[in-house]
Amino acid sequence: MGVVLITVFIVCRYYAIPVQPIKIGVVHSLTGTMAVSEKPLVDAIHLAVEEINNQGGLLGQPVEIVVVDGQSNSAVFAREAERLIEQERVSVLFGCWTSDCRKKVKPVVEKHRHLLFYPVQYEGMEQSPHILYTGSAPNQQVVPGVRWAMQTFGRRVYLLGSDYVFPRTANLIIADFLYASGGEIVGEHYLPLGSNDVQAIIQDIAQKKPDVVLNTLNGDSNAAFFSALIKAGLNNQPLVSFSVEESGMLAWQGGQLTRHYGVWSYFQSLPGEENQRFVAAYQARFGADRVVSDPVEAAYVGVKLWAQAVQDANSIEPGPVNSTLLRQSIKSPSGIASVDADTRHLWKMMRVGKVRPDGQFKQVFASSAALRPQPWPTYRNRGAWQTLLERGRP
Amino acid sequence: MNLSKIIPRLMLGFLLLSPLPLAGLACLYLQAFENTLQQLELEKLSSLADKRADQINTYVNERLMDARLLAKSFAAVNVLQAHGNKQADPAQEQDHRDYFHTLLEIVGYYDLLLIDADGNVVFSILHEADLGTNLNTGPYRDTVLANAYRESIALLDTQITQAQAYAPSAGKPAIFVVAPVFKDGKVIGSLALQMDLDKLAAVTGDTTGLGRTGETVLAQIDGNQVLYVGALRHIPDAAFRYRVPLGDKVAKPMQSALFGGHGKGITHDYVGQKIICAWRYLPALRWGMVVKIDNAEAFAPLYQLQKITWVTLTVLLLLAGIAALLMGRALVLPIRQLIAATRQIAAGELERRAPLAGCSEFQQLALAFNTMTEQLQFQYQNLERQVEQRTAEISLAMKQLNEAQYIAQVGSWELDLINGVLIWTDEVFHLFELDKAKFAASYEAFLNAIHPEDRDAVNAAYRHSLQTQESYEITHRLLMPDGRIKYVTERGVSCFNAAGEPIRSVGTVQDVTLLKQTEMALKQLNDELEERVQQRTELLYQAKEEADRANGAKSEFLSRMSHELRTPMNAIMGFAQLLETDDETPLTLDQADNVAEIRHAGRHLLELINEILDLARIETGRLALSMEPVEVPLLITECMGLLQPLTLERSIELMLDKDGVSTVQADRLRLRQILLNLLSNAIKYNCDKGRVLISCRVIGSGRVRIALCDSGRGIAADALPRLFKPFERIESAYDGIEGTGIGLALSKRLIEAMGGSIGVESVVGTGSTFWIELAEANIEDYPPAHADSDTVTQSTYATARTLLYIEDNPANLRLVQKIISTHTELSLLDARTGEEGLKLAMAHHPDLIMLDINLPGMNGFDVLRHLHEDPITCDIPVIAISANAMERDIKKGLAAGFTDYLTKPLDIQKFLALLDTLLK
Repeated sequence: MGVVLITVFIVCRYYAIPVQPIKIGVVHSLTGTMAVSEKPLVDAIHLAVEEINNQGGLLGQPVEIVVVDGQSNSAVFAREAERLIEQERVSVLFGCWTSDCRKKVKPVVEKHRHLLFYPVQYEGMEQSPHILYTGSAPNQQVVPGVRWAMQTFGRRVYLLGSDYVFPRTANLIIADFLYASGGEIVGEHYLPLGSNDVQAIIQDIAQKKPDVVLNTLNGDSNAAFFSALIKAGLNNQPLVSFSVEESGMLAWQGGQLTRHYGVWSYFQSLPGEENQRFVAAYQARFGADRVVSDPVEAAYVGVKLWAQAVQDANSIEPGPVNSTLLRQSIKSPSGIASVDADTRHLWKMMRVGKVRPDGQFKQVFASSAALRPQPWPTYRNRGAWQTLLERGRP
Repeated sequence: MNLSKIIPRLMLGFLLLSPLPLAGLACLYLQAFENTLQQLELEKLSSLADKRADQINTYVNERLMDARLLAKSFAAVNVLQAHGNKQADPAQEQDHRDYFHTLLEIVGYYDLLLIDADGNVVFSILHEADLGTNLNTGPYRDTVLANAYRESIALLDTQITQAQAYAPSAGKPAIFVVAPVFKDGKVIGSLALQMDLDKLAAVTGDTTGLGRTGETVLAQIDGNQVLYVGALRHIPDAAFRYRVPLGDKVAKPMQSALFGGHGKGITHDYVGQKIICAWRYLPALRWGMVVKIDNAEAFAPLYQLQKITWVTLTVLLLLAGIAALLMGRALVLPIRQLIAATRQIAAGELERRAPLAGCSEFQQLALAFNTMTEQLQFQYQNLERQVEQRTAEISLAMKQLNEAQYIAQVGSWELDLINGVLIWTDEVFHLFELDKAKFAASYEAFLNAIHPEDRDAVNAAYRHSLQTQESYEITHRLLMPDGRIKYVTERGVSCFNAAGEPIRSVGTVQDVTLLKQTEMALKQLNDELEERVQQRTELLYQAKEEADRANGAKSEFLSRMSHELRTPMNAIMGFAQLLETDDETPLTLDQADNVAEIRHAGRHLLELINEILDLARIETGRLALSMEPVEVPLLITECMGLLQPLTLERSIELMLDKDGVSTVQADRLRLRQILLNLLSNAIKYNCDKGRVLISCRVIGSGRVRIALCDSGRGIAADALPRLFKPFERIESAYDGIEGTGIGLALSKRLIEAMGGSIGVESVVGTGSTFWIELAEANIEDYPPAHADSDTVTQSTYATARTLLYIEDNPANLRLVQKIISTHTELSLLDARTGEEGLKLAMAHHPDLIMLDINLPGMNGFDVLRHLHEDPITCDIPVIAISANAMERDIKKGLAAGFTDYLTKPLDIQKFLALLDTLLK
């Protein structure tokens, strides 16, 4: 009798407490020019959260996503991030794509001592104690990419990029690297975002005949550039694109060029059980024709890392989670995702893929192991980089 | 406390029983304690693992910093530059060597190497075999050092290698940190630090906070094996030697950690020992790390507590058991004594008394029991006396019952279904004629007495009553040993227990032989009577059938006779017409009169035949009517026109009185026939210069009445009922007037067939009024009147035509030959049989074929089918000329494919008109 009474009492105590969901904030562009790129990332976050909830949630609570639209506008991003933290009281933020947005949201999360997961490969030179960078730093993508290109095609390099912070900074790093390792820049050109005016560049490339073109163009300028190359009979021009992932390659027909390569940490076409499972789950959830890419994978991995850190911290507060977060590692679709506590970036593989006609990559080269993240490439000290950035030229 | 009472004793028992809930509670608390302890231990290990990982990472990072700093050092740049320029200054190099050596000793490295931009190892502290070789082309080009060197030059970034056996260092495992060396922003070579693995082991081997059985295990992947890189507690000398295949069932946490896993839990270690552990992945060295403690140590307090708890509980339970046993025995003893006493008393020893023992409740119980036994003893003696008295009463009642049953010839029985005892009263023995002294009452004896044919039925009735739980009654026979039959009626009912099983059955048996015999005699009488009635009924039915057959035969006869009469009439009428119309040999006036008389008589006869035929048809139910809306005044006017010669002859005035258009639903032809009949009667039986008033009115309820009012002599009232009967003519005075005597009868049948009625009112000397009533037709259904074009013109044909007539009757053939002969451009072929006709048709391809239906051998329909099937003759129009004049015959003919269908007697005008149409 006593046993029964005690059991009933304990069961009641456990089940009487209503289960509050853990809120997480997602701030990505659902409208505007960036929406096409960012929406798949929101889907990836949904997938990760659904998987977590299907396994019983976190700390016995379900996870609930609050998605807000950044409208491709950095001011809106900052305002919405603030609102998610102050009003929605979310435990963590996932979001941003462009460096501009990240730089606007950064002071907000720092002010509130909150936590943001940033999923995109970027130009580096940044390290906030309240941001975890799950995309590649320059030393994990751009630098080894250029080194591979030079070893494969030659030292005469042509730089082409969109005119904004990422290509400018990336090319600065490339130029510095080329200088140190004996490469030569035969041409450098920037197009305004969204511009299709590629004719002069094509003529320049045709005339200078570089060993390889390093492409940091963003958005649909790529479509104009690729088709102009073909029109000019430059199908065989070696070309390495740093900012076009699978869906862009498909949409802008990068696969028509015969020596076209992409440099990423993750390709949808990667073998391995973990990636097969991820691609299958994503396509089962959002449609068999959907394509995943490096940022999509990085967004997905971010949620999983956060969840594991929450379990370790036994808390959903940004503070404790931020400290357990730095010691996390998980098995991810791109390999092992492991947090580097010093830089708050992930150890990342660097992979080169040849663009296939269907926009997918066929891996032709990969680093022998995951690369240690270095937001400031180590061959200069941070002060020297700062000076360089301000001067704009090595 | 007075323990001689039960309540205190029971309380003591409950007290002793309480260890059970206590055990439950202990279980619960132990569980909670285990959970908490496990949680605590896991968290402790988790933070230890984090701390250890931090330590290793910090150590590695420091080495990276060292390499970067040394690569920036003047010494490194200088040595490489000097070698590059081939201007090595031995004195200066000795200074640098001294600098590097000091540093190595302070920080603790194994060796330091400098490699120039071309891969030559130009400097080494230990001067091992690698000095002076080229890392791009030399023997050590595939070592981890060589790879790290190339990466550092290419990526301009500091590299750290995985631990691997290094040949120049006597094959011992080595880890290198390699940093590029710059001069003026360009890379001129690399500096490599070979780590002292003993120092690293000191960091990793730290067991602070891990207790007695704790350890930190480190391993890396080597091929498809897990290679342990540190010392192991259970495996001596394990570093860089002990391996476990990947996928092996031991060392699960390490295998997880090596693929990026991060976690904690209770599992098994590399030797299968049960452990509590936390595991981490160290990306810099690509090592997996497991921090673990043996379960036995981690949960020692729990196991201790569990042991104490269970021992205590077991002892408590044992004590409680023993106490309960002793207590129970003390309690049970007086009860046993009481039970023994009770059994003896029950066995009849009423003098026995229960002993007074045990607790006071039991003593009271024994006392009460003894009092009860005394009471019982007294009552038992009293009871015996009463039983004797009642037995006497019962035997008297039994005697009376037996007498009553004997008189009533009713026996009764009772069957105890539990023990199978059957009791019969004397009367049953009497009925079954059994000697009570010789036969015991039994179900077998009862069954044997029953007539063998009835046994199953009796059995079934009884079983059925047991199933349905209802009473039963059955009358059956008994077969006496001497062959006599007795009838008895049995009634029975059964009692059932709660489960529905029968317990006992009771019933009566009554002799009903006398009753049964009377009943059977009565039944026999009744059967005989019924048979006779049936015989009579059959006779009557036969007589009715006979009459029906006779009536049918009459109608059939009339029908056949009329048909047979029509064929000769055809000849008569035809030739009479020919005589009249023959222009070449005109008749004399006298002859013409005679021929007219023939035709008149012929027509009369034909009418008579037609009417008889109609009547026969109606009686045999073969009259087909085609109902349509008929505009009555128009029809009356038409009839008046047809009868004009007759009215002129008798100077009779016909008047039509109509109000508007009245339309009735009728068969047009038949209605015309009726009207003609009534109108001609009104004329014929009128006086000269009389008049006939015809009125047509809608009389409400959708009916139209047509009345013909004549000014004749009228009809006597007693004659009226006979008017509409066939072959009845009223007065001999009318003998001079032509009439078939069936006109009115036929009219009545026809009008009734059309759903109408006919009647007559008459006043002798004033006149008669005949009326008919018909349903009014819906005006919308009225079809547009179509003009009849009956005008026959004597025609000539542009070209010569050939006709073929197939006919077996010579008179008919001659008639047609005669008609055709008046047209010179027509030639006629003739055939007597179908076969002959077909041959002629094939040979001559006539323009038109006329065909009789009733031919000997192949009939008209067969001939037509052959004609249509043959491509030569299929286009020739074929008309039927037949005495089969019924409407269905005509329909059948047209359906078979005849172009047209003419009936005999042949209407010459119509025939000629048809020829005209078909040949033009």
